[in-house]
Amino acid sequence: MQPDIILLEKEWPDLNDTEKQLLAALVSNEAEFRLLKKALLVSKAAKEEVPVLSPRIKIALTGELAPQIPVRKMQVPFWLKMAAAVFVLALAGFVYWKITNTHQIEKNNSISASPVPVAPSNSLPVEKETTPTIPPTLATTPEPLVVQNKKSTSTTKRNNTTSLPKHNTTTVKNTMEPAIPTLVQNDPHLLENITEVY
Amino acid sequence: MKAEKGMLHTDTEEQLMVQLAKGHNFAFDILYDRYAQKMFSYFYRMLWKNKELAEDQTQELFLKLIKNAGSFTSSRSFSTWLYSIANNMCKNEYRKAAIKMKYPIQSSAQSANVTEETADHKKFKEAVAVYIAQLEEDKKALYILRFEEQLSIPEISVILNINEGTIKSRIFYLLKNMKEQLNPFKNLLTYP
Repeated sequence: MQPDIILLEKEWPDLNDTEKQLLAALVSNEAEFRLLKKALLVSKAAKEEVPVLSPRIKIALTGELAPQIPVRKMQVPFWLKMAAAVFVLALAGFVYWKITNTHQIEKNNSISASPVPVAPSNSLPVEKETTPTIPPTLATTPEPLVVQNKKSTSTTKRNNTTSLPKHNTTTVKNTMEPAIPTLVQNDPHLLENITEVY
Repeated sequence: MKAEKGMLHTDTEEQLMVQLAKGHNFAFDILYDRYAQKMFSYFYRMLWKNKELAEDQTQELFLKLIKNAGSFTSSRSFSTWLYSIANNMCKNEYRKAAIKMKYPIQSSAQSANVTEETADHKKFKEAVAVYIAQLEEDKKALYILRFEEQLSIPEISVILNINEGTIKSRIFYLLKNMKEQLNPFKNLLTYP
């Protein structure tokens, strides 16, 4: 045991020979022992006389604490960041495509839904049955149409055509293209192309 | 959060330092509550009972604690680490100032002149305070750490960076010198 511990923890009458021997170089009698013991106890008690630390110190330190030790942010792995970026881009692309597509469909629907502007029938120019002005020389009874050779070659047809009466009274209205009246009989060659008559 | 705070309250200082290094501010609060007054008291007694100076030093000490939390190794004792820093800070203060000129204290001659007429208990206390105040820096630190903070010799050895044998020897001569300084009070205390 250390001499100073013996001084603090024991009284002179309680000391054994070994302890007295340890203290011999320091204190030789009870008076010196008590003096030193008292001095140590007084200084120990003086510790209690220290004023209380001002609370402003802690406030100041707390203010310093936040910038000094920032709370660490959650560490996000790089691959997770990349995956998140890809996902966001894919989502943005999908949304863009969806919006564009929807607009296109709406646009198409609005066009098809709207009625096709067709001029009312009464607004169309009425096709008048006009009698062609036939030259007097041809106003006689027309000669019957004679198709001489159906199987003739194109050259023959062309020749036959030339033999047909030029002006036929029958007028065929071209309902599809009323502006282009066609006299079918003027060109019998066209009859060959007619398969159905409505 | 409450659970975390509760857990920290049961942690050792070393564990709290690890928590502080990780950025848990609660750890600092607990360390401060445990050690601030103790360290202020140490500074106050070491630095000529100058309250303002002791407060400044305490603040600086805890700033160092915050800054160096990351470098603290939990294998060492927090208490001795903190006292080591405080002791070095005191050394710096002693070096910085022309101590006895800036903070005049009663001379040893004055305490030696204590007569039998003034040797009551109050005067004895004053004489002890004067004796401690006039001690050299290293001896004062040793005295305060040993007899006021009641640290063990191995702990003081780490704090002051002096081997244990030297510490024991210094304590012995410190007490011997103290006895001689306070000898005028011997009979009064023996026969109150």
